[in-house]
Amino acid sequence: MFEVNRGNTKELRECPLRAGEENAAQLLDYCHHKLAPEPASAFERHMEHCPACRAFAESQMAVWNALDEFEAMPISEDFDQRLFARLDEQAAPWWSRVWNRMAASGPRIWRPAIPVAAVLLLAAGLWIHPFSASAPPTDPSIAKNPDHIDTEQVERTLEDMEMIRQFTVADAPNSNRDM
Amino acid sequence: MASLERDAELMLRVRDGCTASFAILLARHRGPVIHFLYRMVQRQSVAEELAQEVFLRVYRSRATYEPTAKFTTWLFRIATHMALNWIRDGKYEKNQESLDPEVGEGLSRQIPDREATVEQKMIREARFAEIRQAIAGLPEKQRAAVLMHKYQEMEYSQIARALDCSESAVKSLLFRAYETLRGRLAHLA
Ligand SMILES: [Zn+2]
Repeated sequence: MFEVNRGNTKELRECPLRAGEENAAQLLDYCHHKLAPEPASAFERHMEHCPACRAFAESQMAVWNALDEFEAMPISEDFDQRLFARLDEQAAPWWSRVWNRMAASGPRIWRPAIPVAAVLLLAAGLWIHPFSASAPPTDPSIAKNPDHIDTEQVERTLEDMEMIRQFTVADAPNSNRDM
Repeated sequence: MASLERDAELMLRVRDGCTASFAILLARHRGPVIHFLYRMVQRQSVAEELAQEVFLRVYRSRATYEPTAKFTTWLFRIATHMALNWIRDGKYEKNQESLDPEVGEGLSRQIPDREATVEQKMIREARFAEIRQAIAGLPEKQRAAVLMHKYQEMEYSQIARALDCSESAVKSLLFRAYETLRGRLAHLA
């Protein structure tokens, strides 16, 4: 991009540090050993006469190596277990999730009302869908027909779909390059 | 290239109801996603919670998944979105004070060598804290760009898609971020 032919070798047309941030990003590629051999040699020849680029490369390489010390932390052993439990919970029908949350929250003043409410909900469920209440799904893969009453799930799905739609539109022209 | 194709293939199988394929994708990408989020928010418990949300969203979005882009780019777009939202909600600032104990604890777990002297350990911890603070001090979009560039080794085009901006904008973000980091960390050479 910023090279000019001089005999058999290519030289930089101008100092990359003065050629704007986008061109200067090539200096970063050089420092991280990601630049192709030919532009890398051109840059090395330029550095022989440019103290600013030399200082840049030296400090950038130091930073690049120092960042290796920022190690990540070990992951909790129960991470997958927690995730699959949440997927299972979301796959269950909404009344089952309400039941589980209420049952897990300990004794409360409204606790005696739980069985009554559950019977009423079950009766309502059977009245609306006579067959669907017979076997509550626990496998996430069964969650293909989310309960239409669950507004939270609908909101989340709409939000997710919007994110994917934006992503697909943004990607469309370059999709082959990335695959 | 083969593994990239396999990611998309696996996700298509997840779309068709195969939960085993989801487990493979999770095993393959759980580490990079959590590590990215940890370096973004600098708190392991928050990073894991956000990562749970990322994979829940991936699973919930399976029905509409189309392999128009590399799977990891899509995954990191969701992860970045989650991290930036968390930071913009102001939770990052609220958690700053409670960062140190957890990070310190993590650091001691990361350095198992018994031969290091107390002095060496102190120097290493000081360097670690300095690097961590320099990263934390970057504006959030610059921070995300640097983390994807340095630790995930993502191309400019992939980072651009994850951050929903142009490649030239990514180059500018990276240039400015590394400029700040050079100012703060070059002496660590
Ligand atoms: Zn120069």
